[in-house]
Order: sequence, then C-alpha cells, then structure tokens
Amino acid sequence: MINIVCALTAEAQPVVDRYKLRPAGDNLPFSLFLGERVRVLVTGVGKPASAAGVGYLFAHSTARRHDGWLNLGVAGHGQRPVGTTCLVTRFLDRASHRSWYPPQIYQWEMPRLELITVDSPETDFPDDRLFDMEGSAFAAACIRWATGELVQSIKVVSDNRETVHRRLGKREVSQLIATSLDDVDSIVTQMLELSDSEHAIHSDPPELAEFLMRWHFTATRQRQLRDLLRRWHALEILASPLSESSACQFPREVLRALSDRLDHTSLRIGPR
Amino acid sequence: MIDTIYIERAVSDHPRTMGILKRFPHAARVGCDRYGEVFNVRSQNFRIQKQKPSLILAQKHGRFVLDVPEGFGIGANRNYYFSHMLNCVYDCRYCFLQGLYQSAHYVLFVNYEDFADSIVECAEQCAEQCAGDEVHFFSGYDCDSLALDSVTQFADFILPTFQRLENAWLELRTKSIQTRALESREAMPRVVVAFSLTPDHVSRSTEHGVPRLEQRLAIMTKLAENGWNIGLRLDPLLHFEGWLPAYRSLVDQLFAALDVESIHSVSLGSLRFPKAVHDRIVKLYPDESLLASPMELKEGVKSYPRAVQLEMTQKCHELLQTRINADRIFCCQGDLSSQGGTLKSGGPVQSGGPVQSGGPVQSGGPVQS
Repeated sequence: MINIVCALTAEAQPVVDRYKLRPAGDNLPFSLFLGERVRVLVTGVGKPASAAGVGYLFAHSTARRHDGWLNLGVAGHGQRPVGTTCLVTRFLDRASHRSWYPPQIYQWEMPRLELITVDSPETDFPDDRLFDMEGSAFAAACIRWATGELVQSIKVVSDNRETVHRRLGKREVSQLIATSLDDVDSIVTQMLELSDSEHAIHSDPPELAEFLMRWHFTATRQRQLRDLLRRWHALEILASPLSESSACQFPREVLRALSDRLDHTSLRIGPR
Repeated sequence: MIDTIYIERAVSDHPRTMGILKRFPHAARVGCDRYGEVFNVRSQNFRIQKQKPSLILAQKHGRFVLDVPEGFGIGANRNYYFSHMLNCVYDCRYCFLQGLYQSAHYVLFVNYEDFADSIVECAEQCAEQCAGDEVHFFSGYDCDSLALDSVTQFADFILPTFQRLENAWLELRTKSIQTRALESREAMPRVVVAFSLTPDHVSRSTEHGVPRLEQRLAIMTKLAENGWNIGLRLDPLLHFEGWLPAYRSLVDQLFAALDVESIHSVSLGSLRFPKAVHDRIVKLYPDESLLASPMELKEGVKSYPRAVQLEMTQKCHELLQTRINADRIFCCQGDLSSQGGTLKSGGPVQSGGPVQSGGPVQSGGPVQS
C-alpha cells in the first residue's frame, strides 16, 4: 500500500482520478480516498496539518510498517520552469534547521533537489532548492514508523521568481499535478514493489498459525518457534515442520524436536 | 554506478571532493552539515539501501588510527587499523557491516593527509618506545581497501607514506581486482596485499558483486610476479556440506597459482559475530541459509559450535601446513587459541583477543573484504 499525502484537494484530485479512488466517508477529520493499493489523504496547508494527517492515517487505518509514504504537491523554486517535477533529496526545516534525507534508491530521470520547508510563504527562493510548507513535518512524522526508503516526496514547481506574484488557482494546481502523473506513477510503482517485498520478507512462516492452533505457546516460546521455522525454511528442509512435531505433546517438545532436526542439518551451498 | 553524492559542508571545496564530483557529473549533489545526518540514522534499512548505495564525502575527526585487539595480527606485536572509508561495494551475506550499520551508503573521508600524519606519528612513537619492533597497519576492516580505489585513489596516496617508514607494514585487504595503484609502481617490501577467499562456488552464491576467484587468482599471480607480498585470508571459514573438499580445492588452486615465497602469511578464522550484529543481520535476511546453521552464543559472540570451529580450523591448518611453513599461518579465531596447542602447529597461532563491537573484529575481523 502507498499512502499519498497532499496538502490541497487540488493536488490530490488528479491522483484520485488516476487511481480511481473512492472517498472513505464523511465526518472524517481529513479527506481520505481509498483504493486497493493506493490511498490519498488531504491534510491542509502547513506543518501541523501535515504531521497530524500522517498520524491520523497511521493510527486510524490499516497502514502497516512496510507501507510507502509519498508526499505530493506543488512547491516554489527560484528559476526552474513551472511544471518541473522533482524528487526530494533532503527535507530541511528552516525553523529548526533539522534535516531528513530520503534515501535515493529509485530510478528517476527528472531533477532531484533539496526542499526547504518554511512557516510562511517564500517569495525569494534562493539557491537551487524547492520551497514548501509541509515537507519536513511529513518526513519527521513518517519516519517514526516507516523506514526512510519508503518515505519520499515529489514536488512540482508551481511558481518561481518570474511568476511568484501571480496567484495560482485550483484548476492550475490540478493541471500541474496532472501533467506530472506519469512520473508520480513511476515512483508509486517502485515503492509498491519495495513495500510488497518488505511485507513478504517480514511475514510469518506459513506453518506458524497451525502450530499456534495445535499447541499453546507462551510469548517467549512463540519467538523461539518463529526463529526455528525461519531457520527450517532457510535451510530448505524438505520435510514439513508440522510432521516433525506431530508426536509432541507439549510446546517445549515441539521446540526440541525442531531444534534437534536443525542441529543435524548441514548447510548446502551451490553445487553439491 | 553512483547517482547521489552527499557532501559535508566542511569538505565541499576540498580538491578531492571536486575531483570525485567531476567523475560523476550526473549525480545529484546533496549538502549536509555532518555525515551522521545521512549515515546510520534511525529508520534506515541496510538491505534496501544496498540496492543503490549513495556516496558520502566527509571529513574524519577524532582518532584516525585504532588499536587492533590483541590476538588479531600476522606476526607483529603492535597492530593498528584505520578506515578511510565505511562500507563496501560488495554484498557478502556474512559481512558484519550489514549488522553494524543501518546504512549501506559509502562514506569516504577525504582528509587522507590526517590519516597519513597519524600513521607516521604512531609508527614513530612505536620506534621510540621499542626500537626494532615492527608495527602493522591494517586497512580494509570497515571497507574493501581497493574495490573503490579507481574513485578514491587512496592507495596511490597512502603507499608513499609507508615507503618512508622503516618499521611499518601495511596490509591492504581486498576481494577486488582493482590493483592499478600497485601495478603501476615497484613492489614495496613492507606492504601485504591480502585477499579474502572462500571456495569458488561459495563465493559465487554468497559474495555478490565480488570478482570470480579465477580473476582474483590471475591478479594475485601478477602481483606476486611483480614482487608484491601476498596475504591469503581464509576468514571467515564457512561450514557447509562438503566444506573440507571445497577448502582443499581452494588451497590447491591458490598454491598452484602462487609461488609460496610470494605468500607473506595465511590467516584463518571461522564465521563469528557479536550477538547484536548477528541478530540485526538475521532480521535483515531472515531467509539466509548461512545464518540458519546451528550457532552458539558464548560471551556475547555467536559462532559455530566449538567442536565445529576446532575441526574446521585444525583441518584447514593441516591443509596449509603441507604447503607453507607453519610460522606463516595465523589463527585469528577469538578464544580457540587460548587452549594453547589447539592447532598443534607450533607456529604463531595467535591467542584470540576479545571480540568487540565497533572494532575491527566484530565478526572475526575484516570478513567483509
């Protein structure tokens, strides 16, 4: 699952349309749109709103540890042309001077730039950097539970020094995001692949549920059982761990049976 | 190869930084105040980052030369190591770095001169304190000494320093074939080019990105013919079905390719990790069969059962002893050697020092290279 977090409805709408998402319902503190593999949350403008929205989505939904988090929105830049789509390399909070660095592991052909998050709208846009009002709060909130590789941000340049005094309407914002959707989709696809692979790596061994139904394991013994089953599969033992334990009456006997078998199994590497 | 480079503000104008940036004109450049903001921070995943590591150019502060724990050496009484780089371009499943760091980015400390100054100072102090004693400096604990040398050019920089020091030896530990810096100069009598080796099929399935054994053998032979001292590092020794014939075959290959006189030393040490490092690696790679073999926990170190360790080390020692004088075989094996005659070699079987987290011997020393 990828959670896409936008500040404005105008930023979210093209994504909602692209992925054919449906509204989660009324009377929610934030606008939320749901799909099978993509969710879009509209938080409102500013750092507090962004952090609160991320927290809400994590606490009040089925968001899981290996889900992806993508901040999508418009940003200012000194000289880059309006419509330039950028992947963020650094979230820098101007007020606190703190930085977060999303690991750059995805294929991305467009510009990759640092993003400065400010508390009030910027008009000067110094250096080759993006400016927004949410990014640092989004990053700080997400990495409390997600690994940094699954926390990313895409910004579309909406104004620069030449256009800063022209106020953008909702339709123009939506158009800017809509024209960048292919690039957004490329990152969403890569993040989904990574998220799926992380969920698979960290999923329980397939027999675990059956073991827990047949015997009553304490929490400590459940941990031991998980580890033994992990090793069982890693060593590619053909026999089923359940049949190895079928004669056991108590959990400790199960653990001993599995452990004995593992201790007498040699590792095979490459050609035998 | 590298498409993002983080640059510490302190070294943004450093000539070495400029040179490296020139090599990667299309890489995104990201500024940072200290490399610790990017490297090894919470909420990072070594395994994921390893798919596409970035380069961090930084300045090293503090101590540049560190003590090697007692018992890990190749004959000298005084042993030190230094790390101009953190992390390795290769991806070996048993490497302790994947459990030591949360980041797979390569950190390169560009202030090479400070390393050289510290090495010279340390060697001079040793000479003053104990004239006649040799001091060994090991490179390649937190990285592969040579694998990224085409970018770092560290070997070119540091070798002349050792040419001037009459009591100092340098070990460059590597799995790479990036030996241009060595091939382009005269062999140095107090430099050991040490190659970490596992049997060919083991290397192919567990050491991702490492050049094939035959390529490394060719380079070793070439270096040896040019007069360089070669070190053979059978560390970690891995336990698997058919390990003995596999290591016998490896030893046969090595001694068929190399003139024994070119071999400075051989060292042995079975797979071992500090518990915390082992646990983190298992979390990263729960399906990894190397980490599923029976291991025991003793004094904070996870390793093969003692009987297995002893058998492997003894048998490999026996294999080697038929090829090379025992006084050139060293066992870097933690507590195994404390039994004195365990290996019955009569040679300098090193007594094992403590396996310390954060030092160079976390998993049996420089097993990543």
